[in-house]
Amino acid sequence: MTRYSGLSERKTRFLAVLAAVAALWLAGPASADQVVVVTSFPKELTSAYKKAFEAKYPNVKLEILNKGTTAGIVYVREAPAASKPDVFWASAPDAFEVLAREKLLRKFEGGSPEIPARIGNYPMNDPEGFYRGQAISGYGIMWNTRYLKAHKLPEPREWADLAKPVYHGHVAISSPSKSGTTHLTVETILQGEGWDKGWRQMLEIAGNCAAVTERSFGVPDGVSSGQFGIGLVIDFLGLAAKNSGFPVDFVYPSVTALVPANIALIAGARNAEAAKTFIGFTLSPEGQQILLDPKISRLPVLPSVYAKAPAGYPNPFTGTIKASVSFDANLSESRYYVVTSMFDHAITFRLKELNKAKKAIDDAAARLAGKRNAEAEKLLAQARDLAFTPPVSAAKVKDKAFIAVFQGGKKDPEAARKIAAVEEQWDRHAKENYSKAAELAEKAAAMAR
Amino acid sequence: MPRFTFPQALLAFALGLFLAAFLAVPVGTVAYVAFSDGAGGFTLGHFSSFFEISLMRESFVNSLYVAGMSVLLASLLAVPLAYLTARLRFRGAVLIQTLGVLPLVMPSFVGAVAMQLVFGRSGSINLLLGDWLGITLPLMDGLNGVIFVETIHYFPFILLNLTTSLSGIDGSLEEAAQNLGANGLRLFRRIVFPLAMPGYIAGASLVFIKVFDDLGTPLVLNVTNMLAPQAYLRITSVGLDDPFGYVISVIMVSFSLLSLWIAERFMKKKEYATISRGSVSPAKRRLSPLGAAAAYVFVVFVLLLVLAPHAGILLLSLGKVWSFTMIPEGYTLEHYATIFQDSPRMIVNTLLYCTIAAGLDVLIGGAIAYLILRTRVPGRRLLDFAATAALAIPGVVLAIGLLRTFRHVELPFMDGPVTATWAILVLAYTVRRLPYALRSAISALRQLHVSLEEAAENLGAPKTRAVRRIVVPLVAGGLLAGFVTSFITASVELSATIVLTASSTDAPISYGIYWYLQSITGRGPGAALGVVAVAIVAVGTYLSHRFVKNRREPKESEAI
Amino acid sequence: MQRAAVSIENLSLSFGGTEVLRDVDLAVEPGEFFALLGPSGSGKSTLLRAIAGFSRPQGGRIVIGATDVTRVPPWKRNVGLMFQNYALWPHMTVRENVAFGLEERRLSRRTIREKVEGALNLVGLADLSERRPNQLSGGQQQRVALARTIVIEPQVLLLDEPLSNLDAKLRLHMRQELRALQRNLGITTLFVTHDQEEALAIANRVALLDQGVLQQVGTPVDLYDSPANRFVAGFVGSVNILEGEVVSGPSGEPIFLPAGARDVSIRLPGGEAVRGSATLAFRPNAVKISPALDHPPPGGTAFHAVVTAREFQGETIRYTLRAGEVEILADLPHLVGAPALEENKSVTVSVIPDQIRLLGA
Repeated sequence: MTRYSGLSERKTRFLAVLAAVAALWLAGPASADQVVVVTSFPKELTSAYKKAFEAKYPNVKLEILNKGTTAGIVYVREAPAASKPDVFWASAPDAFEVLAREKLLRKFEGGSPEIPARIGNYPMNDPEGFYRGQAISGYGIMWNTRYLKAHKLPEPREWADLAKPVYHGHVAISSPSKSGTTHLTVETILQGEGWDKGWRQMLEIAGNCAAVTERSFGVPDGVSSGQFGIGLVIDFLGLAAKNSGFPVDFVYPSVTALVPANIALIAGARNAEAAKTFIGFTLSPEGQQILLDPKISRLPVLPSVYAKAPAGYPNPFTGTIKASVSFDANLSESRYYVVTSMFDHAITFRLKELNKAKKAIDDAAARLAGKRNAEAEKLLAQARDLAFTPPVSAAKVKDKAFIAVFQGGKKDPEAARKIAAVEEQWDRHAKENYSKAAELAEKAAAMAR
Repeated sequence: MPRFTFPQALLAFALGLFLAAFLAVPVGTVAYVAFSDGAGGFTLGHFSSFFEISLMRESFVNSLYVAGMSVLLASLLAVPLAYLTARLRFRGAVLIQTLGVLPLVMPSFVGAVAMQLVFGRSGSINLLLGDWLGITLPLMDGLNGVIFVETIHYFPFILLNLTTSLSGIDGSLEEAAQNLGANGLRLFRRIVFPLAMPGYIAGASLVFIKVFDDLGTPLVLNVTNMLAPQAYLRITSVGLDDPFGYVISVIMVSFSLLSLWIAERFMKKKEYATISRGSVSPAKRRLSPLGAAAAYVFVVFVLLLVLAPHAGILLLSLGKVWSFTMIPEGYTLEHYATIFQDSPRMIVNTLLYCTIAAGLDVLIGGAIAYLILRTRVPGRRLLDFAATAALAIPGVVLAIGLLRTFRHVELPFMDGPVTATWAILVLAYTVRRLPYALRSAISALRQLHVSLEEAAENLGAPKTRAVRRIVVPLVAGGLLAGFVTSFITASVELSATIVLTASSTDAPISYGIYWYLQSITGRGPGAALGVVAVAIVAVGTYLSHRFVKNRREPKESEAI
Repeated sequence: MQRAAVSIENLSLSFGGTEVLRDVDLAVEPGEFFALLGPSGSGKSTLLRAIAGFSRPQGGRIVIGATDVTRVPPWKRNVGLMFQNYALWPHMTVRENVAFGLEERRLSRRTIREKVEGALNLVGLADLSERRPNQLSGGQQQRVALARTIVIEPQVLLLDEPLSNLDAKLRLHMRQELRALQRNLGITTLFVTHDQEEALAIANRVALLDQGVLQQVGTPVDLYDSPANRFVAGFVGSVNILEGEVVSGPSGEPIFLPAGARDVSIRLPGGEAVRGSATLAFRPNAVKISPALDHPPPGGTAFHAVVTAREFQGETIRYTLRAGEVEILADLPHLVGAPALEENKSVTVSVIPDQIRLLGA
């Protein structure tokens, strides 16, 4: 007796399905004219470019891989040599530095001569020719007008405003370890104000934060929907939300830097020629004009395009943005890990404790105002120092040996352990200092009676 | 008759190969990397450095906390509802049945967005509370948000399992206790609840695993200090070689297995609940008017909670701008136009991938079921075990394992490694949803007594025709139900999807929702896509209920 | 142990629109072993559950001892109900099952321990006290259920089909044990059974129910020998029931002529029987069979019949006899070596007159 004949029928069907699947695979898009773009930009921007580019070059298909900046780097690095993507397109210049250093980018000529060589003190294109500026980004403050009205808050103008007691619990920032743009914002403040002062300001602002979101998008999204009142964001996120009808506004504080968002050809690109065509398109007047779309709201690198911009559109070439900081990308890159990790250990993971310390200090200061109580003032100053002094001093961050610990990477268990030890120390520092600061501030407040 | 035939053995071997390649090896690779020192030696070093990092410790504790709290809160919703349905004469029972399905229709990460708008810091509810009482509730802040969303989404698992369990308890067991002097809460605590325990544990452990493994909800809510998001971020932003992603994976699998094991131990005592001869089915008590009123208040409260995400996502998909107001300011169909213009491809992709995956699941599940129930091929138990074990493997873990295992494997005719194509998504879906199809196939085939086949053979039908004319028509409903279950759950699978999606052209709906929701110009299109996904799942759920209803045996508990 | 009387007065009970009990009146004496007998659906279990408080009657009263318990909830009645399926809690050990009711009564731990020991000893299960119910045989489970019920020292013991889940041999053994135990404890006991043989064998008195109506209450012998109606006669033991007419014989003696059989006449005892249509009942063992005679004896004492079927029952052989349209069952004792009557054989049949009962409507 045969017991299997029913199965062979089933197997035939199985094979039929497999054949169908294979056929579908075969019918998949051919790769000859496909440009694969790895980008951190939102879909409004990428789909506008895709539509315009494919309309102009019907033979080339644009394939967008949307990745966070860091995830994008990893993707380019880990893609097998035979199937590297073609173009990398993101905001943070450090990302391109990393890729260039790892020899993952390929130099190429081209670009419009009309594009200025520098924006402020910052070179528009990579001096070595690996990547070039495609748009200009500034960093600033975004707020929800309804939220501020409902909570009766004044509109902020400068970073320092965000440290004021009135904004306690209304601010949001993202974590620089997760978001390249937030890292640039933090670095801008650190470079603009100096390490110690910059961190002090950063910690005070963070003390007012309702949340440190894990993705940079969480901040503009939270402000747009009214979850948060104020956020630290990259300009186009704020401007695009405003131009799409959300009740939000955006301002460039004076301590800001204008930094190019870049585009680069990846080494080993399979369709290098088509990729160059695409890069050329993004830099052409046609491609630059797309940036003015209200849903994109970015600053073009081509000055002539601003003529077509709506009234009131910020123009970095005419001084409507007072960018006082000259951004040093090398410095930023060299201490990238220290800044991001310190931020996480001093702020992200200890936000509640920091909030509490900041609130206690603000309350104490309010009580002591006008009352001359030297002892209490002294306690309060101590509390401030405890709470707002960064765990790594300006001198230490210049120490090459210290920085070197972080550059080894974590693959080596020994290095990983060293890093873990430093991080553990930061964590303890933060926890102890914040609770002590809160204690001292409460003591000072008690003395005001 | 020999113990088995050659073609049977060949089929078993082929199935074994499939499961080994796409389940055992990837998961094994994950475990290997987590315990390997990079030079082929064994080390616990990655685990010790994992626990040296406070973020990782915190993520670990948070994941446990969120999963535990979700189980607790889900129980608080589900236990009274289950008791109401199973033990009290209550007209609102239809409402409760609705409550059991509504949340499951909406993927939790879609619900999360909507719930932020309804219950968030400046969401509808808090704006109301702020206006009336001057207070706001931090319902959606950080971990609270994850717990809240998961509770609303998953409490039906406890509700359904517990209701089945309660209705199965022999009524005389309760009467015996009353006869001996027990009543009210004591009766519930000492007799009813312990007897319903297997059902409760099955539901609760399922909730625990699902929440512990969930990636989409925390990501959408911006919470990353939990294990699943950490594994995802580690692998995507540090790299496939970062050991922590694998360490986290091993921890997640261990906890899944642990809770399944605990559930299994309780299920073994399930013979408790079966009704024996001469017993009475449990009497339903009539509610006092006051009790009925309280019950209605509770049911309506839960119904409102459950409907909030549905209403929220619908409003969001139709709203122009929704910011700091109770409901959106104006309404438009623009977002639907956007998605049908920009991304019909995603909808097509989802339908294509899920059809293939569910089809494969039915074929593989049906074949395994046949081997288990109708043959004595060696290794058939192992096939059953392996296919079922996929339940305990979180989507992130399987995805990481597949990426790592197949990153250098290329397919003929294809560009680049298999991990860069959509085939990997189909494979992940197939493996992840195989247990559902397998359970359906087994229960369908088990109902079909072998004598029906034998009767056909006895009357002169050769084996092939006996299978075609008797077996296939009779199990078709069950297989179809398995297909639909696999299909709908795969269509809203996010964990594996966001790890494995290699390009936006190949992206399915679930990825699209996640991506669209990160739009600066508003989440409208993402919500619209979410509504489409909900519609697909709702239709599928309806169909699978129809198929299941047509079968006599009650549906097996989802936890098995 | 207390000995409480149970008195059911005018009890009516319906589920939905279905009347399950109708005007039931019943008085159970203290210490009595009382059987509620009836076919399935007769309402006997419902009556038992009403006494325990699980079915609420629409009319009438239930009095236990001196207390009207009609509106008292089950957990306050202190009557012990043993369920047909025993209803042992699978998540508790034997000891925990037995201790439950005592714990609910908030007795001291020591008292509980002592009483549980006592009860388990009484049913002979002291060794198995740590087992779970599913580790016990059917008979053992029943003993646990019994121990659990009597340990609370109920005023009344209610047994719902206590022996129906046991196999035939164990059933005989257990019914004797139950009877002995009840006698020892002296507890008023009501037990429900559909098995008339069981009821007659062990009960002091039996109440027979049909379709929610009480048919007859009496001792087993009363029910067997003097059935109050056709239903009782038919339900208790085997019986021949004939419809027909009573006429006066040649010497004025009453003679019964069944409908449908011209040549059959049966002599009735005594002279006081009313003439006219009547229903006649007699047990199969009241029938005498002798070899066929050419002429039937005069005076209606015997008549011709044919053997149509035969069933061997061990101690007796049951013959089905046919005379005209009338069918009669006859039990003849069987002894080793005695030849049985062949089918189709003609015989002469007579019925022992003083074994015949005339039934009411």
